[in-house]
Amino acid sequence: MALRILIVDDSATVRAVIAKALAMAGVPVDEILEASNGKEALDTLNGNWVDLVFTDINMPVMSGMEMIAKMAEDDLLKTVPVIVVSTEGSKTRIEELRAKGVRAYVRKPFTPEILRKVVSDTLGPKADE
Amino acid sequence: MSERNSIVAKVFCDVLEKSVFMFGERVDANTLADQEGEFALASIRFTGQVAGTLEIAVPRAMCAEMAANMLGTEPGDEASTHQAEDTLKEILNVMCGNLLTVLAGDTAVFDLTIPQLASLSPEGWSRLARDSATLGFDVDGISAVLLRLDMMEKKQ
Repeated sequence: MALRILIVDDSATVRAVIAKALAMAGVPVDEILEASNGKEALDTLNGNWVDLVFTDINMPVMSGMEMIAKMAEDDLLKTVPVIVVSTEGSKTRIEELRAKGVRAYVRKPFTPEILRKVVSDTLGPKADE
Repeated sequence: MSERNSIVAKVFCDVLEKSVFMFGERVDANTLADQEGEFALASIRFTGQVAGTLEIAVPRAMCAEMAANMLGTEPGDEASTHQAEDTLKEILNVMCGNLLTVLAGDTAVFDLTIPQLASLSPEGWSRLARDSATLGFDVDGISAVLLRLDMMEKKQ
């Protein structure tokens, strides 16, 4: 089943790179939605169902952490898997993110193979159909 | 070369190679001082266990080339032109995050600002190159890059 994926990052370049890396990795993608900050992402999620969210942490207007916290408060949004893609390497922060329900963490820079693996680990067989 | 400068140089070259497939080589920044053209200066601040600023300066043309490499397009493409500045800021963002982990350890928590970008004149480039804290790089034998890290240790 092809996936609907939301990519959240204030860098248009990074959003394009993630989309391209997913394609190169052979992840079955039906549609890519994009948002440049947490608030835009929540607005997008308000009207669109997605199978997976990739998000950065450090963004203007609303950070990834705030967005993840808001998603956790919503009965429907809290079921959407979130993968953080960030430059941070702090184990402390990664543990904090996992405690908030983040399914996986990808550190920049990344390869298509790494994205493929985290998508497969996060979604299971759904990612390979 | 101090240990910190060695680490900065290594992290920069690693990020450059893995992100935009370019190869950097450390050179004396003073030898890069006399350059013509237009330049871009990106800066990012960090706070946490230590606080400071990381800056990177490159020729403007290099921004488009980095964007093209990152996106898999040609330097003259609309996408790479439009996202040239964004790419430089992202390179700085990635470098800062990776560098702080190496310098402070993988349990230290930092907050980074959103990178800012400004134009830099040839005079400004020259001043930065002659600053004793600035590191210089030759990239792919055709471009020059200047890096400057200012760190303020937190008093115990």
